[in-house]
Amino acid sequence: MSTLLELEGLTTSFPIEGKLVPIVDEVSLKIDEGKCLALVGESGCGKSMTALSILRLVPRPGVITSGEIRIDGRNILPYSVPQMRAVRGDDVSMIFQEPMTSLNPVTRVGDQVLEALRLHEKVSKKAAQQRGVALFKRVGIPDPEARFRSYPHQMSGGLKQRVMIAMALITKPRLLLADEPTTALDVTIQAQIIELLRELQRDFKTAILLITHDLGVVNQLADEISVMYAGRVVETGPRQKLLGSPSHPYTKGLLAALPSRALPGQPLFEIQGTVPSPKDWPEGCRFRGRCAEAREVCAASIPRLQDNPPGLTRTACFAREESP
Amino acid sequence: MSEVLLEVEDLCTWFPIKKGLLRKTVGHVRAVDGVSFRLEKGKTLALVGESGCGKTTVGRSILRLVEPRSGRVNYCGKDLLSLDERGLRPLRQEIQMIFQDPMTSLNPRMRVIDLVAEGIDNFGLATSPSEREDKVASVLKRVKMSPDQMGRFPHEFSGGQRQRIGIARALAVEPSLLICDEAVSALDVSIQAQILNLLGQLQDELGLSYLFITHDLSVVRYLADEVAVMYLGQIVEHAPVERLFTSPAHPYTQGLLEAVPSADPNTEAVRVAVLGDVPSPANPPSGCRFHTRCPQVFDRCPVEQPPVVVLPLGSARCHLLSDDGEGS
Amino acid sequence: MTDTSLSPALQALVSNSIVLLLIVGGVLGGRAIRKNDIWRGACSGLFARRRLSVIVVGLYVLVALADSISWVGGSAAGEDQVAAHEARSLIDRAFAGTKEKSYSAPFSKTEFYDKSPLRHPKKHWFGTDVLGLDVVYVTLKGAKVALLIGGLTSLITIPLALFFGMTAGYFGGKIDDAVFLLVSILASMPGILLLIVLIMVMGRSTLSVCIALGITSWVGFCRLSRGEAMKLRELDYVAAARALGASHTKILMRHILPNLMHLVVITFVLLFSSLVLAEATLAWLGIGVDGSWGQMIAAAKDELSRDPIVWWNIAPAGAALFFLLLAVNLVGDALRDVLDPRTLGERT
Repeated sequence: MSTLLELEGLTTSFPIEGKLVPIVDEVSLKIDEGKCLALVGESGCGKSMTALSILRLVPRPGVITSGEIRIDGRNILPYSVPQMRAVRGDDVSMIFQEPMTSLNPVTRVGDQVLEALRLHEKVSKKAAQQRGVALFKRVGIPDPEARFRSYPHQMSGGLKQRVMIAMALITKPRLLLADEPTTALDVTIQAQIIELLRELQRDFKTAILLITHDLGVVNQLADEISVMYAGRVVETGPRQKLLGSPSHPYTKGLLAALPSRALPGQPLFEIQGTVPSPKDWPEGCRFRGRCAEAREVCAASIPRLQDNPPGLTRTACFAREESP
Repeated sequence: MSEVLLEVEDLCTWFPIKKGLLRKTVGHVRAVDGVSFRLEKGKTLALVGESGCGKTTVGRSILRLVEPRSGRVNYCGKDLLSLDERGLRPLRQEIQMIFQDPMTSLNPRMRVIDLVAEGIDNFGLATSPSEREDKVASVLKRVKMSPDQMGRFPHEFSGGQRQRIGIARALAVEPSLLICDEAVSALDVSIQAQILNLLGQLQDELGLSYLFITHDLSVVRYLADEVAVMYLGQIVEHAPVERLFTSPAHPYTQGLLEAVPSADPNTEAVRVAVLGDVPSPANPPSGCRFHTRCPQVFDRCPVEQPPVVVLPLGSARCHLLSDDGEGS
Repeated sequence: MTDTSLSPALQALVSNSIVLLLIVGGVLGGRAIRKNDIWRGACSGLFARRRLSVIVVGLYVLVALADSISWVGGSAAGEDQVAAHEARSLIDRAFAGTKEKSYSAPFSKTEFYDKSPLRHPKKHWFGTDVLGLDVVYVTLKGAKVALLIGGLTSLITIPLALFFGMTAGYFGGKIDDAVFLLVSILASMPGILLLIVLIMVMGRSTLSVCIALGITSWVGFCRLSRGEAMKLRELDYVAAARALGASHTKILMRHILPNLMHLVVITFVLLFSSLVLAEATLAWLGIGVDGSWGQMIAAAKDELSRDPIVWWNIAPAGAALFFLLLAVNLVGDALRDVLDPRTLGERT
């Protein structure tokens, strides 16, 4: 199993009140071919910006200030714009949260899907159309020939999301970035999309970077999970280990706060305080203001992820470093 | 056991579909089509369903923010739908609403004190500016916010804090019933826990009753006493919370529960039990509205609307459960 | 104002009271803005972005104010008797007694055509016009006219449009249909013709020109405020207000109107610009306001075709008009950025 995507120390910063604040702060992660890594966190943790950084679509005035992004071992950060265009949509595709605003309302759906294909491959119109309709069928869109010629407003949210997935997969990308792909969907439709993504991952051998705040969805799709807080990865590890026995205080708190984990008759577990905004990030560990286990060293230096062997979770927490 | 605070009977709210230059009404979106339920004092009834089921419209119809077409909404014996605006006004103090989106539920140009005091001002509950300020301070403290924040504007607060301000605004007029319209859906998990705990506390302290409208079943299991599941404008199942989760009667409820992804690594994966997309509320399917997506559909379903079948605990609308229906 | 029905003393009184009102209004407005974080942030943002333009507009306003502070009497020697009984402003008095017989070139010693010596040789920076009036003087007086056209008309137009648009958007239904019909009818009429007819009917005083311009320009802002009101009424905080017992009037005053104010400010500034230009067109047709730059420019068309060319009338008038409108438009664009409710959170 080779490593498809590797981020090493990626830092993306934005100028806030005169200073450059690292919204994505030295994030390192790895996705192997055909595997799914979930990047989990609450709003403002930097997970979406990490995905945009991979495609080098960081909105101005943000800028990638350091680190490397390696696809198949090649660092794509120094790539020129034409080189990046060849990567986007071909090697790496992205699907977004809001199916309503991700599709062009005045173009037929099929044309939008084909646009993605014909930007990267030389195919005749007829062959492209055939591939498109076949893919529509594969992603579970009923009546695919007719739907190919529909406009977005004629389709439901679930169908539009399927179209987005088709658009992303038509060039057979090696990596799919899925930014909250099911958040805007109803639960029954979400289940359908989750099942679809699973099947497609199996059949197309596409690696997926799943970005979401929903731990339930993560549990359905991910092989590995990385938890982010205030721009940093605080814990990472295999799905079962991380969800079953979380280590970092934030991960533990997040799981304990889920209503499904509530003990009967007891109030829900609360993580004290609120997520600080980037201009108020404290020195040292950014979670320390809300952590029950905070100690002096947490203010003095930044905790790093442990160097554990694969198969175990790695935590960035001083309170965990005492026990081997 | 307790008294019935709110009784909704056969509520129907339809929205006209207008087309053409002269805006003729060509049809109706039957957002709420015959909904009945009861809410007892001090209890929480959850109204659950996916988009287009009408649950938000039920909440707005009770407050007459939209006008229902027919039915009765009895609050402490008085039918809210039969009153004119003047008769309705004093009762407005009793029923308040908390909204989903913390970004649009507060007027961005008003300070917190004026936002929270809006009801106090309208109903004349404070006789002097200092009394007004005291009342606002006390209700802010109740929602665990510091009173010295009352001079600020909404954009200075986070989503969770704005939700608290919205709750404070509703509490300021001392209501008995709170309609929570997806009140925690737009919040992060950790903030959601804080707000849910706050709501639970307030219910204990003030004896409030909640009509909790949501699509999130895990929240329902934690907070509600009773649950009513809606689909395309109708209640398809109504049950005490534990019964609903342990032995759901209606195929839609079953499918819904199976579709919720659990974060527990040791449980089974989600199952797709409900196929296809939700039909349009402007054109609901014939007979049982769920028949187009039901895994247990049989020949009677498209033909006849299923009756409300009373079960040992609660009720459900399904041919499979009625006496002369065929079970599978 | 060239309204001849008021006596000079009364004219002066009206003028001075308006100046006083404006100053008092400005001070009160400034105090209110300073207390409100949102508007204060907007003002400082505006000043930071377009300092020069704001200052330029300010200078024009000062000139217009100076031209409005007037009183009767006290004429200097060498002036005609009529002047002693008219209400004359500060600017009038500053240029008292500078009248020549007819045209003269800038800084010239002699009259332009018959070469007779001037009474004040080399003193006229931009020469004199056909009546012998110093061109700088006439240009400065045009400032008041321009500001009056833009300001007074906007004052008529905007509340009218706001009222109709807000109620149409908020209430919907029949009220909306009625307003929509009215707006569509007005918008379908050719603006210039309507203006001409109105002015013919109402006469050519400044007030009637302002009213006519007002009637033909309120439609745009009406549509805008109607659209905004429709959006606003769907927001949760309006629903919350209804649940909290607010009457429709209260909701309009407390929730809808304050959230339209940023549009009002932007529209005021941008409408100003188009109104002044509209008056210039009217002046070209001969029905503009007396003393406006538009009129000076219109009169120049004859002067430019003479030989030798008389260019010193149109140049300052055109330049004054251009720079005022440029400054106003720049301020208007900056205002639009600064008052956008979406950027509220970012600025404070």
